[in-house]
Amino acid sequence: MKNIGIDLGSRYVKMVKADGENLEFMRYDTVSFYRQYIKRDKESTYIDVEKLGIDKDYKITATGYGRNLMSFANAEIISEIKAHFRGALRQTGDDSFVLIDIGGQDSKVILGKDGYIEDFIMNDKCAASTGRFAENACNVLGITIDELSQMDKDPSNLSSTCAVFCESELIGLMASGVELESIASGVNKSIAKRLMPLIKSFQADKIYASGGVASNKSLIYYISELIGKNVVPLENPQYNGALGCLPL
Amino acid sequence: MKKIGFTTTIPVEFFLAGGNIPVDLNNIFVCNNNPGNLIDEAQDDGLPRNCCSWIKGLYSVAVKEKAVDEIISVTNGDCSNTHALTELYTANGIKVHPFAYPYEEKDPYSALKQQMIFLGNALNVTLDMVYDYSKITDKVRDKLKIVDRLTVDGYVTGFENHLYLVSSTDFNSDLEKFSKDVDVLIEKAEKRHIEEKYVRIGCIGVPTINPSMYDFIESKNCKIVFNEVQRQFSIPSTNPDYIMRYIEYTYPYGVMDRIKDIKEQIKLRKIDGIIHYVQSFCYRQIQDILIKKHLGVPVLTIEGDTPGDIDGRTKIRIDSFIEMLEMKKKKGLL
Ligand code: SF4
Repeated sequence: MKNIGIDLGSRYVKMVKADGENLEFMRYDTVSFYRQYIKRDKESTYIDVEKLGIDKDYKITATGYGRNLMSFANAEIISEIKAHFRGALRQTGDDSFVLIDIGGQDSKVILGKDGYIEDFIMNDKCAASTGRFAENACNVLGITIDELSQMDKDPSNLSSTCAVFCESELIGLMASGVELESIASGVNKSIAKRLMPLIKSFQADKIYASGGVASNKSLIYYISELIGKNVVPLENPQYNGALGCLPL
Repeated sequence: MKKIGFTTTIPVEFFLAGGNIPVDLNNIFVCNNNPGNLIDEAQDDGLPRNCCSWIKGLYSVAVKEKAVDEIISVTNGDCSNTHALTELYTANGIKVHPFAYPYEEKDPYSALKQQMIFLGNALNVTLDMVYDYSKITDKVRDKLKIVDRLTVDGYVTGFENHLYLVSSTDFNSDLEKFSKDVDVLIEKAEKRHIEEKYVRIGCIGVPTINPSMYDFIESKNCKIVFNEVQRQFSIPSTNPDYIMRYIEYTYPYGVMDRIKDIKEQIKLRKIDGIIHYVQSFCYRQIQDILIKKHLGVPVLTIEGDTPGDIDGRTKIRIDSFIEMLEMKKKKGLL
């Protein structure tokens, strides 16, 4: 069985190519992916498999932000919640868990029970609990995402409600001489805090994290600290949605 | 004959019995050719970005478009934004009469009756004139009950149900024409061939500022069989005591009364899941906590801010919700 799973995220397009047991992972910038690999003819939109270097006999299943904005003639589309849930089933082998997915502009928490989706909840219209906020904060602080994810000491308290205003708060903290590590830790802790209302809606023994931001160790540390339970990042957190597009 | 606007549903018979034209300011705002423009105009005058869009629209239709001669402002039973809005109306030289639904009164019935007497004085009608007129409007309300029943049975779409029930607050300012329009809808709908849809959805919360959400939802494998607030706006109570109908009307009172009504309808209409629409910056967003806690069926909360199509993020949520309900229903878990 040859399958391709594609997760069209707001920041990156993640792709997993599966030929039997053999998995190949690929990642593209979303904007350039749409520009380069999406073909249109009069009636429909296609994913240009040839240009992507994929044989025609692969079955494509896709999910993600592009789902409702675009329909592809050569791909089956499934919802993000279903894709992420199935990705976690596949990656963990568990069938009851809470999955926290922190994406570029959406965060979501899914409650899985006995192998089906019991409930889910997504963030409201605020980017302060998403990867985009972490990225912007890194730009302001002049550090990389990798550096940010190591910082978990003496977190400054960030009080702005809005992710954009928070940027000027970061500058204010730097200007008043607060240690960079402390500010960056504060960014991680504030994302964790914003996620609490979503996470606390559900209870389960096992809590997993997915999405690019799940590789942020410090964030996972603060989430675990705030809920008093161990949160385990999935093995391939960023590819979880794409993996969930593959048949189980 | 005056055109009299109002900020939320009040007993419309008071206008009609006195020969005045009722205008629900919400309806003319959202039906305006460019409602977004009305919001911009309000913001240009200084209404905050983080204030509910309905308030800004209500401001502009009256102050900028001068759509009405006088206004009845509902100062109890809606939100406190209306208080500030009332002050702006007055400052702009518009004559405003307040109307307050009882809140935490020992004797809500007498308090409401007193408010109705005040309203009658302002509009030059007696309660008896109003009671008599309600015999005429009752015939139209009966027809709206048929529309609602046809929605449950699948013949009327969720959007049509929303539109006709919400329009009954002022009968589109023309009772006779409205009544005929309802007849046309019923006749058309009864002849429709209905498509079997798997999941049954109820929509609750203030009427959406993005009505395109209805067609999007129903493009999935589901049927909308309930519009909570719109149904309340159509005054479903048939209590022979006119005042009691507005005591039984749930919208202006506490959320627990609304929850009781919603739960009854979930049972009657065999609803699988609820979509709770909330307006950005509305205090009713807080009530979502109690709604989720008490309804006993899955609830998806979606948020709208300005008029126009629903955004991609909202579509993702709706999609996933319907898909989840479908899966659960197939497994017998609902
Ligand atoms: S939507 Fe909420 S905030 Fe806006 S007018 Fe209505 S009750 Fe007030």
